Amino acid sequence: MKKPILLVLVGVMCLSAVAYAQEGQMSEEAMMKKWMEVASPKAEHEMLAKSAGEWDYTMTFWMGPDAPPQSAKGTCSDKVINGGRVVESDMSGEMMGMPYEGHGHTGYDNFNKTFWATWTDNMTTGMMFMEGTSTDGGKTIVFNTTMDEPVMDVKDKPVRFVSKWLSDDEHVLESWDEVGTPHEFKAFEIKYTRKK
Amino acid sequence: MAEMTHEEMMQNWMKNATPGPEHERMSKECGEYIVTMNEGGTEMKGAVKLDMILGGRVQIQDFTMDYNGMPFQGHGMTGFDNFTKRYWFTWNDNMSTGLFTLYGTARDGGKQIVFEGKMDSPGMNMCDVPARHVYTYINDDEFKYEAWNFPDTPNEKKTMEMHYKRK
Repeated sequence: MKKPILLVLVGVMCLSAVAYAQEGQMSEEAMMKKWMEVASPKAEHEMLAKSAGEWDYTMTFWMGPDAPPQSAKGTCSDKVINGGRVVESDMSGEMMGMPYEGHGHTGYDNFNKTFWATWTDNMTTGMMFMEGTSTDGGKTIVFNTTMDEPVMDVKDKPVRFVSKWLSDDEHVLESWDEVGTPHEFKAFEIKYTRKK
Repeated sequence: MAEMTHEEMMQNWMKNATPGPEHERMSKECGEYIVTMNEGGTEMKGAVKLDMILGGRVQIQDFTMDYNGMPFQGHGMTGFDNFTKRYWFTWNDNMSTGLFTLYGTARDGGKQIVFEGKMDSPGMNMCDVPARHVYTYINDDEFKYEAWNFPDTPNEKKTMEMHYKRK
C-alpha cells in the first residue's frame, strides 16, 4: 500500500504512527484526526506567545540559604517558532564578571497537557528539561524537576521553577533549591521587563 | 553533602563547562545540508542548517521541508554533557506541540551515536514509546539518521531513515 504523503510527514514527528496504521491497529483517518487535534496551537500557546519581543532582565541570586543576594543584568530576546507552538529565548548578559549566554524553549504539549521547557547556557555543557503545570491557564507555571549540579558533583537534585506573569510587560522566573528539605531556599529570581 | 573547597568547585565547574572533543566534532559538522528521506517509494528532500551556539557548546538544527505547499519546520539541539558523559538531543516541530529528549553515547569509535529514549505518539494515543535513534557518520560531508521504535523487542520497527549530504 502506498501511504499518502501527509503520513510520511507525520512519520517525522510521530514516529510509530505509520507502522501501526499499516498494521491496521488504528485507521489512518482516526490517526490523522488525533494528530491534527494534538498538533494545533491552543490558548496555552497564545499565552506563551505573549512573551515574544525584547526584554531587559535583572537577576537576583543567593548562593545559599543565608547568603547575601547578588545581582546580574542583561537582555532577553523571545521569538515564536514552529508556527506559534514554541517560544525560543536567547539571553545575553553578565554574571559574576563573566559574559553570560543562555538558550531555551518553552512549549505546551496538548497530548500530555503539560508545559515543558529546556534550558542550556555557556556555563555548562548539560541541558535541563522540565515539565510543569498551571492552574490558571499558563499565567503561573510550576515546574518541579531535578537537575544535576556538576560543581558540587551532585546528580538529580530536586528543584522547583515558577514562572509568573505580573502584567503584559513584566514576568518573573523564580527558582528554589533543596526542595523537599527543611533547607529549601530561593536560589534565584529573574525579573523581565519589556523594552519600550 | 561533602564539604568542598572553592578550588574543587571551580575545577568541577571548568571540567563541566569547557567544550571538549565531542563539541569539536559537532562544530566540524556544522553547515548546510540537503536531507533525503525515503518512505514507501516516495523521495522527499529537505534542507538543514547546523550551527553551534553558546560558545561552541550546543549544536542547533533548523530543518525545513516543503511538500505541496505544506511547510514542515523543525528545531533540534544536540549537546554533550561532560558531567554525565552523554550526548543529549531535543526535537520539536510544527507538526506537534510536544518536545522529545533523547540521551546517547558514541559507538564504534565515534562512527555512530546511539540515542535512546521514550517518545509520545499522539497519533496512536500512546505515551512513552521506547525509541532508538542512530546517527552514522559516513564521511565529513555525509551522515545517516535512522530511528526505530520498540528496539530489541519482537515489535521493533524502523520508522525513519534520512540521509544528510553537505551542500
